[in-house]
Amino acid sequence: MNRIELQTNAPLCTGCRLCEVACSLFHRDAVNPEGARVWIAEDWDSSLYQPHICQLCDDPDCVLACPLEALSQDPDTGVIRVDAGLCNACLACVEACPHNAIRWSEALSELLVCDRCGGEPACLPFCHRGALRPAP
Amino acid sequence: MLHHKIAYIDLSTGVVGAEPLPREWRRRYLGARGINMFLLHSRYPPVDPLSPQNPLIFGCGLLTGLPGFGSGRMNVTAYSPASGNLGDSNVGGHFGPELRFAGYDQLVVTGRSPNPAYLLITDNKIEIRDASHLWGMNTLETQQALRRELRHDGLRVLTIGPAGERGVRMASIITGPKDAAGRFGMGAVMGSKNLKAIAVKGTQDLTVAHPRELLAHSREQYQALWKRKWIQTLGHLGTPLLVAPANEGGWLLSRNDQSGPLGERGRAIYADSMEPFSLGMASCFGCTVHCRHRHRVKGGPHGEGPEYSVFAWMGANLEVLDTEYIIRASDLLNDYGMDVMDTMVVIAFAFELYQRGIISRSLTGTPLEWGDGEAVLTLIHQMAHREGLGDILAEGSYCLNRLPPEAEPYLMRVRNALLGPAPGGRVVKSFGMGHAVATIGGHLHRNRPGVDVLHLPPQVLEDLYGGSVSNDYRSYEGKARMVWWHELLYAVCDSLGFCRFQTVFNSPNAPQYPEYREMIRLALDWDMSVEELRECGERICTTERLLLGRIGVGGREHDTLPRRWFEEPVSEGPCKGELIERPQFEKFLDEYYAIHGWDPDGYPTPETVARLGIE
Repeated sequence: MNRIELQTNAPLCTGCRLCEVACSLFHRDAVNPEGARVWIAEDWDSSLYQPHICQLCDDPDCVLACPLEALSQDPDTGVIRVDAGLCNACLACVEACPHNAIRWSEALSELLVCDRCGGEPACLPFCHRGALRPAP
Repeated sequence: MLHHKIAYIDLSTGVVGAEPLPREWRRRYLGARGINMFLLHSRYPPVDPLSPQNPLIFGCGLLTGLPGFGSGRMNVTAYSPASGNLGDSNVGGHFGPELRFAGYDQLVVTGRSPNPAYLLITDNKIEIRDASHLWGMNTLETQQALRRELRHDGLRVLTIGPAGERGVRMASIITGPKDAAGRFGMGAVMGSKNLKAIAVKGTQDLTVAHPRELLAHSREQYQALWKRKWIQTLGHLGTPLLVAPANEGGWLLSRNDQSGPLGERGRAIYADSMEPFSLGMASCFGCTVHCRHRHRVKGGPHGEGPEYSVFAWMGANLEVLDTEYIIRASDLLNDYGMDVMDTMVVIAFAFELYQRGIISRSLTGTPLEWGDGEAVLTLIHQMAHREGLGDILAEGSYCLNRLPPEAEPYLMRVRNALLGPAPGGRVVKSFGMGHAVATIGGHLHRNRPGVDVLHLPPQVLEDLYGGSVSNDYRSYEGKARMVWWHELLYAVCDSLGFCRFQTVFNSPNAPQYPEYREMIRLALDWDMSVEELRECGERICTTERLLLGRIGVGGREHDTLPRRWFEEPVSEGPCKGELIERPQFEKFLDEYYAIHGWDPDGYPTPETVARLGIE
């Protein structure tokens, strides 16, 4: 898998959440936005829908913040790897992420971050508005 | 597999129970509207709509929450305080899918809470909680307060506003900034139960039979649909795109249906008038079309909408040819939790009464002149607060009880329900007939044909409908078949949890039975034939017709239209002179009943009831 840079563009997002649907179908074989690795935040006060997805940062804050070294970054793809066995849900990574793109699901006891679906992000073909698209 | 539970909540006793939703019900009535109607018909005889016994039923579609054709939808059903008979309202947004993630497909709420209450629904759990602190809040405030209080940004809420609390008969139930179970006073039923809101957060997997295939298939479906011109146009202009063809086609009438279309003046409210206000589009869960504007009015708050219905019923019918007023009114109605159509129809009625001197300034407090947007906003405030003339108009159709008898002919209603979406039924005969026979009175969306306004070759219509249908929208020929055909399709579409805008509503080539069949197979591994699906549509429509009969409004004499449509020809425009001719109307009813398998008086025959296996 190559490094897949994705851009988000909130003004183009309509909040249909098909990205969440596709993501959960791919990863869980079921529809469940709670387990999606991309998500849409709503801001009714400014009428905006904001997609959140991992930006594959260089020297990612989430990895640096983890006290247990449960997170690591793949040097080739930039994807953040989670060692669930080491994670104790301290949420340091969640608080550190500047893109609000890593999330802890209490209900599923799972740390959720985009893994680019092994090379073909399932969400991308469902976003015809361009709110979520490959970086040029 | 998919979760399928039905919960029964008695607000009088506080007892909550749940049981699996029988597979047999789903196979025969699918879900949402279908199962809601089955429940009403088989378990809940007609009662006073504002009594605790009236069941308020919330139903998700068979495929709500799954990728499909606008699968964010559900139905809210009860006996209607707005019309006095059957009430049913379809609502989009995100609540329906969330309810399914929490493990529930249907909720039946009965009784009356001794104090203001809300329901909190989480995975397989329903709590009745105190809502005293929420009472009086508008709809968006309520949702934001609950999200703060429960510390969850993803909470989905159905709520009433002050109108529902005060028993305004056209009160709606709102979720998000503007998604509404708008029509037939479902918000007034909720208010009568002292139920302010239902909040839900679900985290469970909605499992499907063939997840990989469903993902691949829905990706292909969506990508094909996004290439269609009608979806691109709707996703850019929103439903206000319908204003121009309605005005230029001669069926967008004005002044409470007294006057013709607006001609050149109508351009002020064409879809492009949204450009200065639109921030882009918004959509319901799982949507293909993305038809809703996100807007901002200078100096005002942000919001979503408005839809064609407000442009038609306020812009054209009240001649408020100013899109900013149309947006402000739409936002206000969403905040108060009031149906835009019923509210605008009853306001237009008041304007005509003022024009004719039947009511005077001593009652209105202010002149009611056509085109006065401020007067419309004032009346909305008064209705929500039940003040002055607003208190009378808040009674909807029942306002006639408090007005002089000579007012009656000017109230546009069918089966005691105020006339719903898409005006112009005198011109577009399939619209007019659709209004007359809609199982929820005067609500054309039950069957909105529409395809005959597209000037398609006759062969296209014949292939679609399986019989000859005129492509002249002023003609009656074949329109009984057309209304019947759409009625069945929309009953299925609603009951699957899909969106009308993503079926044969705006285009003959939109998804319908074959596409639905494949989605059902991938989701549930059910092999339902097109014929079986269509029969579900028949079963649902005939069940609704039986319900109307039980209420006492199911006979031929109730399938009618406002007197004005039979007696007053359209006064100007390209369709000048059009009206509904009685002989053709009666012929339409004969054909329509026959094709449904109902008797000449409009009642389903025992043979039809038996064939459809209705209890």
